[in-house]
Amino acid sequence: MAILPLVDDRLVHGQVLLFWRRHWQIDKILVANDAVAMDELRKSALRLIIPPALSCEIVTVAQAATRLVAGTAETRTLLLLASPVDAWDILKRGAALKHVNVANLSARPGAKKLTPHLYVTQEERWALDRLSQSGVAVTAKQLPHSSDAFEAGVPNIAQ
Amino acid sequence: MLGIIVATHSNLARGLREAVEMIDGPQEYFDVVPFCEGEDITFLAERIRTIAAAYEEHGEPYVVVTDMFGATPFNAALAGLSAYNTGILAGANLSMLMELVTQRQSCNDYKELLNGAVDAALQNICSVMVRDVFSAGKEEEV
Repeated sequence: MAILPLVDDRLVHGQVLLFWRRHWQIDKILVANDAVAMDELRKSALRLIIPPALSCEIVTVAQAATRLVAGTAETRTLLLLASPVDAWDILKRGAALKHVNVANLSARPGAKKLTPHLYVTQEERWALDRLSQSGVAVTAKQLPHSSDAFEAGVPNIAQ
Repeated sequence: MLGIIVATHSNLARGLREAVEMIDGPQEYFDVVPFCEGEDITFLAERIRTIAAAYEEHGEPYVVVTDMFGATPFNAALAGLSAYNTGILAGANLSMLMELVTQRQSCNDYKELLNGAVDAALQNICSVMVRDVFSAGKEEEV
């Protein structure tokens, strides 16, 4: 099973469906998010917009980690996360993540701007560091053909 | 009168309103909600909901028109309006908005109005090869 981890706090939206889906030739979307997995309204909204040709599961971060550890099917799965903190959590739970791409993290209280599409909290910055230190290739391309904002490493957040 | 709330990526919503007003004059009950790079989607959903809430409080009908199905403005509208009984259109173009603007005063059937707007949008989407248009005349010159 090819796992393609993407961090995007908008979860499923145009860029994912139009660009990442085709670039990575994905068969399945695995949304790993505690808040969404517990919220029937949000799950319904996601199921509405995910094309029927893609299979889709919406589970908690812990459940996603279990699925990834056990996974044997020949599918190309987009692992969609809202935060690098969740990526770190999944790695700690034993899933083999070789790379993580951070596409969009929006402006939120406590988040510092790195680029127009990346606002990062201190917790997220630590998670990115820990992922890198664990050997995960961390990139920050908003789209497959974008330049990588983390090419020279994950930038420090100016205090 | 039916309210129109246009929510799109960037300033497309503003551009669409300007185009509508160029054709049909200044519009009332016509709000625009641009979605800008880096904006928090929860905040976007709340902005849409706040405008809709005013219509809801007065028991007035309205429709949210977004630019693309499954994209962030559409998703935010769905999230923000989840407690309300309203419609959301996707695929906003000038024809769709002109249909809404011209029919909203006289049309009493909400679903019919929305379906009409979708039809108007679709019917005005086509591809034309210039040669096909102008070569028809040449055949008569023999």
